[in-house]
Amino acid sequence: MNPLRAVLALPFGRRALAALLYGLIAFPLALVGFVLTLVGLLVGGVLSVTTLGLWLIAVTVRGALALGRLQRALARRLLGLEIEDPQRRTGSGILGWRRALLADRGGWRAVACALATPFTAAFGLVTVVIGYVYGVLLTLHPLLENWNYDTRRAPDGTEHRVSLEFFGFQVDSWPRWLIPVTLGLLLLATASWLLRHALAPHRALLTALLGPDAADRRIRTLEETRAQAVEDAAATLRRIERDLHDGTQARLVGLAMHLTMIKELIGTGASPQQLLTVVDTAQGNATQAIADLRHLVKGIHPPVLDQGLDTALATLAADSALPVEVRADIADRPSPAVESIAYFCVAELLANAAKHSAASAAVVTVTARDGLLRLTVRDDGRGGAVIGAGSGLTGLRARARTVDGTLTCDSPPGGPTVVTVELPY
Amino acid sequence: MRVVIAEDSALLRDGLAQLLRLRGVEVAAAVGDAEALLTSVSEHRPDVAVVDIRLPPTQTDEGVRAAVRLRADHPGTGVLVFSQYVETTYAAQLLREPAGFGYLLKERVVDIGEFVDAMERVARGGTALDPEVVAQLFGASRRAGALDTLTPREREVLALMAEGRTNHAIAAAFTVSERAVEKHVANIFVKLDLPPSDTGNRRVLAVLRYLDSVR
Repeated sequence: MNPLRAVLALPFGRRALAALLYGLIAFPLALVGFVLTLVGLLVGGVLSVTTLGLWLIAVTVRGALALGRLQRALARRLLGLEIEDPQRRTGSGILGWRRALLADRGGWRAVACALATPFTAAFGLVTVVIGYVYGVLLTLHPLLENWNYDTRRAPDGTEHRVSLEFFGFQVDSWPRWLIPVTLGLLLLATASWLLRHALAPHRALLTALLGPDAADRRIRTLEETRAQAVEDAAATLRRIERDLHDGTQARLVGLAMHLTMIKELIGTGASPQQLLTVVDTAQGNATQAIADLRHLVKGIHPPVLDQGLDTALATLAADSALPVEVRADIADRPSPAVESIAYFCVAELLANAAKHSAASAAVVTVTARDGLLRLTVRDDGRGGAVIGAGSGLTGLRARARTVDGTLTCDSPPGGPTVVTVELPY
Repeated sequence: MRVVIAEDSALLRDGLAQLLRLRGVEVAAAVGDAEALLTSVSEHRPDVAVVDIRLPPTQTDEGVRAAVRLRADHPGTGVLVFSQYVETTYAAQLLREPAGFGYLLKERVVDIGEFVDAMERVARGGTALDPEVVAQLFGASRRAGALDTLTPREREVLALMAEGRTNHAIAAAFTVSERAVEKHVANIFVKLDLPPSDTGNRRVLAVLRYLDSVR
């Protein structure tokens, strides 16, 4: 990009122009919304002794919601500001519609927003005028001689055209023109920066009043995590069913088959050698079925977890393919659900470290005190682990979220990888 | 009797083949997936195909779909579905054509004599249903109220009929005379509104009738 274009991109780039457009639209829109909302509320309030007033107020709330939607859409398109749609209440029937609107928290927040936005949007408009209009006028100042200048008649009868005058200092010719031109260029260069900051209160207002409120967000998180938990449980059951069907159950059927075979062989008077071969196979099946079951049980709920998370983690570390150091400081014991999630997180993280990161050692730190379990798994592998599609970390984070926990991953290329899980209990 | 086995677990496949051979059954082929089943049935024209429900690649109902195709393409080959669990909808689907069809749980091989009997029934165009399958189908049909008119004993007789047993075998199972069983069977036919016919297998129709009420 050449320097001229780089300079022009400051005030006239695509994003800057979009913000400029927003600055121009936002205030008139907010003003119209303000007037309509205020009138609707006042008239509705006065008439509220009759049902007509309630209808008018409901329509006003509905209008404020529609305005909020428009403002969200504009902010998204022109400012790149993402505001989630709030939860909408709906009622059945026309009376239900009115009742839902009058009781809609989101609706009243939209009303508050409609009443407040003109004040914040005004900053944007003023900044547009100062930054862009004055910026352009001052920059082009020398060219505007015919439109923007006053004609002065001097006492001696000569006329001359004066553009600006400060305390008798007249800016009417080179090199004095350099002053407004420089000032104009400076304004233009900073215009988009100024506008962005002038709109900051506006953005904050929209985000606070037009997005979902804290309760809505909480509900949404709970809905998401509940769906994840249900899915997780269903997937676990499916896996267990598969394991049982293909593993243990098949082994037992095989065992039954071999026992039948032994019976048949005895009936036909087979040699002890022949019998022994089948008995061996049957024995192998029985042993394998027991091992399969043990593995399965461990995957459901490791019995060692009953002795406490520290013991369980030590066992896990001993079983790991890597040398693992465990530092546990558990002041008060978390709930079994939290212990179980912590255990499976560590199990999976250690497995990841051994499988994917080519690590030579890992350290597991776990502290549990004051209602927060905090565990970190650090390995010295090659790093580059990300939480994303298809990553095991996504599943672990989903598990952590089901108990309002968090999972963060710090894994720069070249390592080390540190995954931190925090679980309140 | 010649059979083809389709079972994805090598352990069970080989075990079953070995057992059947011990009983003098000719195992023409033992394969691990539905595709191979269809080709080897075309090739060997066995009397019975023993088909596991769960076959690769998805381990869901490949076996059932292969069984449906076998019955359409090779009416001369009986199909014995061989599974670790009872799936009533699959059974009902395959039982629309009950002749030459069986559905047994895998653990039935423990009584290899009965198992081979069931295979022979299916090979001859009869029906062989696992008692578990029958019980579940009955459970489903009881909910539908189709069998309310039957006495408990008649229901038991119908269950054994559904398994594919003869009057003689049913009489032995209940230690009653064959005449008594014939009377029950006649009552069942009347109550389920099955007219006498020369050719139609009323026993099979009786089983079908209550399956209809399941669907």
